[in-house]
This record gives sequence, structure tokens and C-alpha cells, in this order.
Amino acid sequence: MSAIGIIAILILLSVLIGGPLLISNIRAIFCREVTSFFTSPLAYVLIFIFLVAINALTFLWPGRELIESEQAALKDFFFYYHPWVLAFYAPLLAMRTLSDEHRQGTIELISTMPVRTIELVCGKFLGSFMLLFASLFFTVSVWITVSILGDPDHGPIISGYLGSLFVGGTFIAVAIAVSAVTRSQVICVAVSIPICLMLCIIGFDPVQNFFADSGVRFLSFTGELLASISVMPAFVDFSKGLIELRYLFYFVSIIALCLFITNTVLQNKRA
Amino acid sequence: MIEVNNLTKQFGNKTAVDDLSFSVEKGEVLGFLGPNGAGKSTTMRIITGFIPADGGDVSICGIPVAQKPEEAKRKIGYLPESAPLYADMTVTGFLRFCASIRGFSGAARKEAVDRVIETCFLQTVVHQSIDTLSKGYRHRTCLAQSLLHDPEVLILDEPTDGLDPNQKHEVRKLISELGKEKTIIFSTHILEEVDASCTRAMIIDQGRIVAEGSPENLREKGSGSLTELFRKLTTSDVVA
Repeated sequence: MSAIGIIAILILLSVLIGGPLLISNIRAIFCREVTSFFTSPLAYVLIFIFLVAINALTFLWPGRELIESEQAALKDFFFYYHPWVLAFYAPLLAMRTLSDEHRQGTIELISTMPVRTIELVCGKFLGSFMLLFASLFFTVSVWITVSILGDPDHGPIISGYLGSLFVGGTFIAVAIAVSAVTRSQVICVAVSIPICLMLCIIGFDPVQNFFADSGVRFLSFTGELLASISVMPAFVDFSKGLIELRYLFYFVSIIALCLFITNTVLQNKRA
Repeated sequence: MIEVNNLTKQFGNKTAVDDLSFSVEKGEVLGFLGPNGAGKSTTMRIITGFIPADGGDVSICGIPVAQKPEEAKRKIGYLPESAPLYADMTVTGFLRFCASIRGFSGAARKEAVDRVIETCFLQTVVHQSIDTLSKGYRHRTCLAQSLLHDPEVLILDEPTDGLDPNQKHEVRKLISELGKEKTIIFSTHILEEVDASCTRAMIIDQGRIVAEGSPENLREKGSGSLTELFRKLTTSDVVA
């Protein structure tokens, strides 16, 4: 995790060498992305599918039904599913961000305007992130339900949402990096989803227990290394109400790394 | 205003631009002529900073494009060959977005958008979605975005492509008007446009300049016909 953080700092420095980022450019691209999402039926379909999936898992998963549990807590019945659902959902949000620019030819237009590639990438990321935020916002109905039926501790719920935003943001950044390499949305999704799932699986408790209980030092070390790059340990702590600075640093670093890779790929592609 | 020195670009084994050098001053309208694959669009893409050159350099108003790309791009208005647009936006929405990228906001942005709508005769389609526009209107919308910031340099890649004769006439007239105070390069396959709009013309083939001069000079070289000169100097890709 420290290595990722160091890389992120180096990235930040290399970006700023080219001059400060123009917030107005990022804002213009962000606004365009958000408007584009919501003028197409795709956004509404995706949000609907996301809400159906989350609510079905929360209220209907056998043995883990929220109402039947009679617990006024969302950690094990609601947030538990978020990383897994987001591993599929975030790539769907981000798959068209750059592939559409190539398909329409507008990459030539935007690249010949006074916009740095990193500003374009940041604007695209924030646009998809806003859609993620909107999707998670509509799940507030679950929080309201639990608040009416019981007396939940709202702190872990808020931090759980924060964790979901960071995990979703990480997966969006991964998908955008993949979309820079391929013009095909199908390939982007097909490659991004396994990457995002791996970022969940390698930190998942049963997998971590396998490495820890192996008794082999190398495997134990490998397990720790995998846990350090997985989103799960960070997310689990967030859903418990623990917001640690190192995990914030981790998420920001991974996102910065992915956006930097996207920036580099786009620039090299044109060469 | 535009300085191109020893420009070279290769794509794999193919040399698209081969040691090209020329300059264009303020008030000049340079016509780029050449067969398909001659290197016209590639040259324009390098000048506008879309792709980097493998050798040589380009400067716009004294600003090196490779070293200070954002600064150079502020001086340029570019109409790409395919006239790309965001199909999910309206004409006004698209122009406002481009104006925002160009640094406009508030009343200044509105004024810039209104000005180019009038210049490019887009009044009847301002609220129409771009994906419903005819080819001519799409082309004019893309031309409009290149004029928003009143750039000193205009790079137009086949600006009359797909337009009907009336629209071609209007665009040529616009180019001639703009050319009085700006530096313009435009590419075309239509040789009569050279007479209509250019102060100077250049014929390119296989990445190299094969002829250059005023339309009158070039016609003299072609025994009175620009078409004859074009056919004599360029390589045909059509198998007889």
C-alpha cells in the first residue's frame, strides 16, 4: 500500500510539471458527460438494474434477509454486497467514456482544443462517478426503511456509503483505463469486470484465511500482499464505521494510478 | 503565422509526410491539394497538435506546437475532415460546450455562440439534436465551433465536403472573407475552389510538395489547366 502511495505522489508531481490543471476544462467535460448520460435511456436502465440487484440481495438473499434478521444495521445485509455488485456495475458505467469519443471521432476535436489529456480523463472519471453517486443515492430507501423499523447507528452507515463510493470510484478508474486501450465497449466490460472482481476476491475473508492458515510463510506473505492491494479490507472497515487515513490514501492512489495510465495510453496511441 | 519546418511522419513503413516545409502568413489562404493518401490530413493533424511529428517542427504565431501545445491550440480553429460532433447534443448545447472549453463563460459565451450561429447560418437548427441534422448542417456546426474564439489561424480539412452547391458557395465566400484577416489552410479535392478562395496553393503527393504558387502560376505550369498540372504531378491510385 505504501508503494502505491509513493507511485501516486510521483504521478501527481509528473502531472503538475505540465502545469496546473484547468478546473474549468474538467468542469466543462464533467457537465457534458453527466448531461450525455441522462439524455440517454441507458443511464436510467443501468440505475434501475443496480437498484433491483441491491434491493433483491438485501431483502431476499436466503439466510441474509434484512427484515428477517431484525437487526438495525446494514453492514452484513446491505453493504456486504456492494463491492461485488459494483464490480459489475462500475465497468458498465465507464465502458462508453472513451470508446464513444473514438467511435464518433470527437477525440480528434477535443484533442485539438486547449485541453490537456489528463483534464479530459479527470472530467470523464468525474462524470461516471456522478452517475455512481446518483445510483447509490437512490439506495437511501434501505437506510430510511431501517431507520423507521429500528434505531440504527448512522455513523457506520454513512461511512459504509463512503466506502462504496471509493470502491465504485476505484472500479470506474480501472474500467476507464481499460477503455483507453480498446474501442470496443464489450471488450472493455469483459476485461474490467474480472479485474474488479479480482480486487474483491484477493481480499475476501475465505481467500485470506486460506493463505493465513496454510502454515507456509511464503503463502502467508502472499496473502498479506494481496490484501494490501485489495479493496475488501478497506471497505470492510468503512462499513464498520472505521475511516482510516491509510485506506483513504489507498483509494486515492489507485484511482490516480489508473487515471495516469489512461492519460499515458491516450497520448501514446496518437503517436 | 504558421511555420512548418522539415516535417516528417511515418506510420509503420509508410511515410505519410516527407520533409515538408512551408509557411503561411496573415491574410493568406493556402489551399492544400493532393490525391487521397497524399498526407494533407496528416499534415493538418500535426499542425493542430492531434498527432506528434516524427521529425521537424511546427509553430503557430511563433509558439512551438510540440513544446506548448495548449498555448498553440488557443490560436487555432480546426475543422476535421469527418466534422465530428457529439450526436447526443443539440447544436446550441454543443457550441456552448466548445465555448466553455475555449474559456468563455456567461454573457461572453452567449455572445460567441450567437455570433457563430449567425456566421454559419445555423439559426433554423439551433435547438435540433445533432444526430438529426443533415450532412451540410453537421459540417456547418463543426465549422462554427472552429470560429467561436475568433482564432488567428484556421485549419479546415475539406470544409465543403458533402455540401450542396449553394452551401459550397457560402462556405467559400466565408473563407475568402475570413482570409483577409486570418491565416487559413484548407484542403480540397475540388480544384475550382482554389480559384474561388485561395491566395496560394500547394499540391502534395506522397508526403512531399510537388508544386506551389498562386492559382495563376500553377495554371500556367499546367498549360492553362490546374487539373492537367494536378494529374501530371501526382500519382494515380486508380488501376487503368
